[in-house]
Amino acid sequence: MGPIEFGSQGGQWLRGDGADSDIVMSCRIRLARNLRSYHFMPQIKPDAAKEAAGLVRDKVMGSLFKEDGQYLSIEDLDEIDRMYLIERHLISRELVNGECERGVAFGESEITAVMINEEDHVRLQVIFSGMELDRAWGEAQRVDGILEKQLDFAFSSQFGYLTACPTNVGTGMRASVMLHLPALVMTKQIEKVFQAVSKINLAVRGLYGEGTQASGDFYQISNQVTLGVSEASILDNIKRVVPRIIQYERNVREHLLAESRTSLEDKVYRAHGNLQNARVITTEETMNLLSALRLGVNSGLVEGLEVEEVNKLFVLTQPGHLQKREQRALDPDERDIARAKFIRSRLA
Amino acid sequence: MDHQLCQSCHKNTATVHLTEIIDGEKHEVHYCEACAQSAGVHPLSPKSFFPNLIGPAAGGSEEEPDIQCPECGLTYAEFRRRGRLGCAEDYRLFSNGLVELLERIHGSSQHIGKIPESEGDHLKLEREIIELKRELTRAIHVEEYEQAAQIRDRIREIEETSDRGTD
Repeated sequence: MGPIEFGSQGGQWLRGDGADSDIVMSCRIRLARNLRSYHFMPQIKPDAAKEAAGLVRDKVMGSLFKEDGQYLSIEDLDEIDRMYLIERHLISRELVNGECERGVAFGESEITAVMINEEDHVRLQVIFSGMELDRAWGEAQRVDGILEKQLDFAFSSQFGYLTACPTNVGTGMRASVMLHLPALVMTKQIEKVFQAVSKINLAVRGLYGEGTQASGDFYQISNQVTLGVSEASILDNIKRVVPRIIQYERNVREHLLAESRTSLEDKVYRAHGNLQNARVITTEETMNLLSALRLGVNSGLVEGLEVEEVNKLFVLTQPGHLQKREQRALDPDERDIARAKFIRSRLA
Repeated sequence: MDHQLCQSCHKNTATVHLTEIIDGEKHEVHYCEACAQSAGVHPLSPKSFFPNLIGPAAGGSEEEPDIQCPECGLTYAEFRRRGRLGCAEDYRLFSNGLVELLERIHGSSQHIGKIPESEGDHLKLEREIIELKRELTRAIHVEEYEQAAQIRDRIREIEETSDRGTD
């Protein structure tokens, strides 16, 4: 097993608090920055990448995470630890798949994390539970301000913050909101959300980001345009559309409770029952059942279970977390058994 | 649990799932790893979603001699092929082609967001003038001449102040 301690029960973003947290799981701000005096990642030589990573790591650890943070170099981590960090949203698959010296620094609350030498030298992210975009942006800006005093970021008055990929240049900002929309999926109205959102230049993705399929009825909405817009207007655009989606989901939930209560209850209680009794369960089935259970908790159908516990189960039942808990590599069949056992222990 | 089959080879389990939204229509594509690679889809890369944006521009005006960055060694052709820049200098060196590309991706090629503190006040004034000029064009376009005159005066005022500042 690698150097990571099996940590807390997950980051702050799983806590299930913050505004509209029945529907908004979390929100995130990501800022991409590069060092002016080093080549960007696609062109950088391994030695220079190592030097740049060391420089960023020292400044980040010395200023942001003096008290309670840790830095992990990807090269020091085994497969399970890497999965574990991806599942906690602390690193991306792209960071894992990189070649040069690269790593991640984060604090104990896992609210703020800095990926080093991913696609850009610096990828700062701030994640909060609930619809707390302004809070996340405030924190991201504060941290960016601290880093910019110590690191010379590549910036031009015309193109803004310079990034390896032109799709991120300008603000370098990606703001995203993770929404749990089971009622819209159930009633097949989710397509309407896709259509509305794509018309205003926002992207929709699954739980684990770019290129992943939506699972557990989670949808991540984020800005695509980063240049020619201010950070405030990126946030405004998202803040205009998200409340409408929230309202839409709430209306459909109310409608289901009023008009099809029995079949909704059946779905929720069966999900709860299966989770409490299954002996073998895949990740995908778990995500689907947890989604129904989360809906049940938030609709008042399931009592005595906190939404925070359900949120955590979405992450703690992922393959990396299960293997970390068991402290050994498990093949998929073993995982499905370990997963069922773990869920039974949590929902007993 | 049913495994979804790759829609290309119909043999392997699909592990790469893409959801593309084209003109408001959602399209799902399911490939196995091998077929995804041969189809040029790199899992988890946002660039694979819009290769047409980053790839060579249509129209055959690509006959210009290639430029190579003396700083990082990246050529313009290589950049258009891979869609990634190699250093800060590339943005200056390739700015002609980049402006067109950025207009297509972002609908703009001028940053109006946050400015690093170290860039100082002159950049902020420069920024304000760009925005005012944009507003001026709009005001003239909608024939709000009184407002246009006010904006013009404001631009002059800023330009004079900043000239005095650099003396």
